[in-house]
This record gives sequence, C-alpha cells and structure tokens, in this order.
Amino acid sequence: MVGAGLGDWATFGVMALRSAVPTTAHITRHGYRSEHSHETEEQYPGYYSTYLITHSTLAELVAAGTHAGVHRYTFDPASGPATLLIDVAHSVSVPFPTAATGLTPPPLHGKKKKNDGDQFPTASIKYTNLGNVVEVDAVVLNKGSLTGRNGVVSGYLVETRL
Amino acid sequence: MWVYLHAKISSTSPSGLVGAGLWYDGAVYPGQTQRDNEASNSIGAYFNFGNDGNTTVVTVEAGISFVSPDHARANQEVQEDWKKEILTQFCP
Repeated sequence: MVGAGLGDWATFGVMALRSAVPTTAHITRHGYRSEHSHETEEQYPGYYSTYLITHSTLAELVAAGTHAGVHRYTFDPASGPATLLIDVAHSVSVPFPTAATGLTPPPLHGKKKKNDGDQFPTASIKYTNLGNVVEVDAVVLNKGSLTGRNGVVSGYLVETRL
Repeated sequence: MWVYLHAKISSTSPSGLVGAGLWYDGAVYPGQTQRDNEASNSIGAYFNFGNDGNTTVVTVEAGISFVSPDHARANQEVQEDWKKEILTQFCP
C-alpha cells in the first residue's frame, strides 16, 4: 500500500503478507504486491479501504494529518500468518556516487554513518520491539526516476473525487 | 532530499509480535534489527504477529518528515485525536 501510486517520491511501502517470513519472491521486484478489485474499494475524504485478494487481508488507510497516516490491516486467522512488511526503498532506483551530488548522508539516530565505498547510501532502517508495539525509524533518499535527477520534489499529484 | 519515517505498529494478537527481521539485497535476515546506509534498492523490515484471535488487526501509525527523525515522530504523535475521530467514523 504505497500512497502516491507513482514509483517515485521515495515513498515508504507497507504491505500485508500471509507468510511468517518473507520469501525471496516477496522481496524481489515488489513481489509482495496483491491482486484487488475496485468493487471492494471504499473511499471517503481521508479514508480508503480495499480487500487484498492475494493476501486475504482487509487494508484500511486513514489520512491523519498532512504528514501522518494510519494503516489498519485485518487478517483472517484461517489464511495463515499475519505479517506486515515495510519497504523502505520502494521507489529508489540505483545508487549514485557521492561526488556527483555533493550531498552527504544524514544521521539516522544522531550519529554519522560511514559511506559504503563510493556508492551513495540510499536508505537505513531500525526497529525496536517494545512488547506489543514495534517502533520503526527509517530514512530514504528522495530519489526516483523523476525526482532523482534533481534530488528535489518538483510537483504534486492531486486526485479529487466528488 | 531525505525523507524520514517514524512508525508505531501494534496488534490485537494475544501473542503479540512473534517474529521480525530485515531484508535487503534480495535476502531475509530474521532477528536483525538495524541496517545502515544500504546502497541497494532493496531494504525493509517485516513483523510477524501471532494470528490467534478471531481476527488479528495490525495498526500502523506513521509520520513522515523532510527534517529529522524527531520531527517524523512528532508528526506521528500529534495526530492522535484526529485519528481516533476518523477511525470511529469509518472503522467502528
């Protein structure tokens, strides 16, 4: 469930799976994607839901603010494990040399990280298990086939339903 | 431009989180909790919850920021009232 719908903008992907551990197929070329039907969709301002047929899961998305949102996934227990997958680099294409950008990587948790050779680091992720809650921190370079050329956001996509 | 994410994930499962890990470069690493400066276009995390209720509901509360991890966290936390209102309205 990647909100922007366009393979760009450094979006963070979130997806439900019915496998306790992701398979190679799941994590290769967005193999976790699911079939769904427009007939099961519901949408209101700030709310969208659809049934993920491939993963037998109801997905609900709520816009909770300009830069915040809530996803809710309801798993049928008869359909296997309930697993949530976060794709940090959903729309990142290929790394590029630091020298070509003049950019330096940001700290994820307040300390500078070492570059990996001459490849520009594109993403980092960390999670903390707090019992019934997991907290995730991630950072990704806003770089896709469109915005990656300049490293900036140059426009917006807006969909309006009446 | 960099984009920061802070997400809080919770579940109705009585067993809670029963497995987690990272994936990158086309491989899965159960139990690993942090990966820095991944230069490939493949990186993420997975969380497996005990699916032992009538239904298991997993909720992801997320905030993003172009500024810092702390700002992303603040975006996630500040929306609590609005989130409850719209969840009550559309997701009874």
